[in-house]
Amino acid sequence: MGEAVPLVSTAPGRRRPSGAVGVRHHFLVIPSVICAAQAALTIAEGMPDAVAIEHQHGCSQLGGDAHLTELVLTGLGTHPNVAGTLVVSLGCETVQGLLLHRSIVECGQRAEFVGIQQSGGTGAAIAAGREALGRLRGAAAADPEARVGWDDLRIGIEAAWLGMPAAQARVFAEVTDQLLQAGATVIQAVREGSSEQPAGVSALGNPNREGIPLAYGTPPAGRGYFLMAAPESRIAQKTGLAAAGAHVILSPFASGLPAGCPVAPVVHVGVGPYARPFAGDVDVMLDDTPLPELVGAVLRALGKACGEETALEGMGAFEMAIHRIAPTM
Amino acid sequence: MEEISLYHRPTGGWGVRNHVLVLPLVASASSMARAVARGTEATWVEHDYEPLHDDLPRNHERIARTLVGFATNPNVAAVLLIADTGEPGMLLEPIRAAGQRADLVIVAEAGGLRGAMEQGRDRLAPLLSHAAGCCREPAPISALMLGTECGGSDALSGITANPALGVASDHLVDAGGTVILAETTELIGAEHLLARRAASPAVAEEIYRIIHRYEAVVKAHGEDIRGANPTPGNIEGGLTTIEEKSLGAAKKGGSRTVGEVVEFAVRPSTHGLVIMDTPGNDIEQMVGMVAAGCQVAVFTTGRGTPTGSAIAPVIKVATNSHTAGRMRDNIDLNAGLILEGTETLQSMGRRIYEAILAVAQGELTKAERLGHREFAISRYPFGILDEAATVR
Amino acid sequence: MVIAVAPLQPGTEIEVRRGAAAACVVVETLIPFGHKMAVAEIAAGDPVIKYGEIIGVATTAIRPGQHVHVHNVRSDRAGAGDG
Repeated sequence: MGEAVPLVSTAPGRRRPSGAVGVRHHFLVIPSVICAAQAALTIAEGMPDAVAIEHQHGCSQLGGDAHLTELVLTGLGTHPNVAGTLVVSLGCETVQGLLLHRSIVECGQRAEFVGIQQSGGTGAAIAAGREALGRLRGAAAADPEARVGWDDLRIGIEAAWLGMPAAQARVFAEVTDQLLQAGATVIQAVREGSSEQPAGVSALGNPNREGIPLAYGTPPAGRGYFLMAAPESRIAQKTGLAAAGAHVILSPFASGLPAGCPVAPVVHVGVGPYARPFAGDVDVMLDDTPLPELVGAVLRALGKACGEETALEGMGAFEMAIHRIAPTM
Repeated sequence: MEEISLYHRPTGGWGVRNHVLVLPLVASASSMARAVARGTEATWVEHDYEPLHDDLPRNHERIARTLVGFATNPNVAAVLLIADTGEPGMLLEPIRAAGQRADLVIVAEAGGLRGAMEQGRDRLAPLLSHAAGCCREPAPISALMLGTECGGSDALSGITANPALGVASDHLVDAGGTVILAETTELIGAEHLLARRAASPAVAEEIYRIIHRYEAVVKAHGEDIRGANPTPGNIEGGLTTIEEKSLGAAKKGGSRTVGEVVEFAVRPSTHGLVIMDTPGNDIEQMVGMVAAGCQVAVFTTGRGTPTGSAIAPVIKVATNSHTAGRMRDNIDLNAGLILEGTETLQSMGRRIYEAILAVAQGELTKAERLGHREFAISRYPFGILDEAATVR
Repeated sequence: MVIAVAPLQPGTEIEVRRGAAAACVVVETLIPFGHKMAVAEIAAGDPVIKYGEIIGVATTAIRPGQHVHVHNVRSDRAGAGDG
């Protein structure tokens, strides 16, 4: 299919203490429960490099869900795109904020902790939170710039293309091939219980033709091609891919609305007819253009997202959710 | 009969606030709701509901009921719905049919994100003008429906704040108003006490049914109800067992007859004390009560929780002076004064009741001043039981 | 049982009145704010009463002055893991 498209990123990445390269320099503010979300939002407000995560999980989670929440929040908090993480806790919740902070620190990420009840209410917590962000910013300034190549990156791909007709699916299969050939790690979300598997991925240069199974939200141990179990929810897929360390997420867009992710930029490839009204919002629109050009356009869009804010990031339009297993109690 | 000043709505209800609400009908529309409402006088909420192919019909129905109820709460003067496609947008019809002033933006039909944002602002403007023209009128106290809630409970919750709230609940019920007692999981262990006060054997049976149902669903998931309740924070605060927590929690409803048991987000058909089946999750519970028509809530807290609601004032009552002082940014009243001897249960209850009336007539709560707008979609929790039943 | 409205240090003497009768109980271990302390003997297996209702079952004998909490009281509700 010709030479792999070189990664053209307009800006260097940053090398983290862990050795991984990130393509963003975000400071993440994570509420460990929904009751701390407003404080987290207020702490991040007005600070352009701070991103607060909102989720809907509270203190009434049963064991499995509480574990999943901790797994995902830890994954997001330790992501290479994140220069530092502030955990905001209420104080009485199941997913203990302090434990979350500790597990993030144990992964080698710089992190701070603020407890609303411990601080003495919202006002004090917000002040303490902003101070903590300042400390994180100061420490992260030392992260050196680094050139970003395909082989530094994990690209996450949402599952939506797996059920599409061949004419559309082949674009994504070919993009996957090219990424793997260029040395990128690809994490493909696969809907649990679905029989749809990536087809047409020849996996040249990838010794594991079928893709290595990966648990939801879990960073892969090495490089290569991974199939991550995920629910049908597109939000949960993005979140899981980000928690698994995807630097950039590729979203085949054919339903719902274009949406970003707080930790990783999302590149939308519009699939008609649904996506046509969104031509101005997606990065690439699939049409009758020959396959190699479409594939090139997608790869260029992925590369561009590494160095520049996407239009969605500029609009502040991101979403996330932690997939819930059991009902809340 | 004492009268208070409230907003009279075409739906027939009375509002304590005059909000214009921008409401996303699906998760993907949440960011658009935020983009449209931000910087205007409108308020908004965000949530994570994605209609999925394998969605249970009962789940869809519960969530639709919640969204419609929230949009038609009398505190809302007008609502702008945001949907991605026409299908969720179908909720516009029941909302309008209830008499609510409402409009809709379907993003996929509005020319993408930018087009939708412009259309949203355009459709919001007349709703804001409409709200600006609404004013308060004399209303009976019986128009009030009070949500009661406790969160971050400690061992004092059942000794100070909850019984004091119970006194206030009694005042409101005696004045012809409605009080909702909810959080089914936190009534486990107190059901006999509540059933004793039921208006009829049928109501008593309903009380047992909803509480046993929650126990069953937790068991069916292979979990121990004690795993989630009491929480580590509750335990640190002195609560030892779920029964201790529930007996304390039940006190919020006061001592009057339980007139009805309703499902999540269902409007009571009667005035007086009503029990609603909701999860113990603070945010979902508040949403359920507000969706059923509660215009104001009192939320007792031992350890201090800051949450509120985008469209209903939530009055925070601390169980102890330590928390009331520490979290003074977030606490409105201190029931710890009962322990200090400066208030009795009765006098504290009266203070809470008077705060309810003052807040209903415009006084802002701390949660409102801080801009709290917590909102969470509650999913139908009993699917696992229904499955087991059909297998048999 | 009583509830501590201030932390109770070990060794503190508490006068407990029940009607006309009064008894002196010595605090055995630190009772944190809001926590419960026994003021009478509770046998293992006995119900533990608060608000005039049963809140749990003692898992071991409890002496006056001892902290009553998760280490010596369990819920009476059967969990999935218990019989």
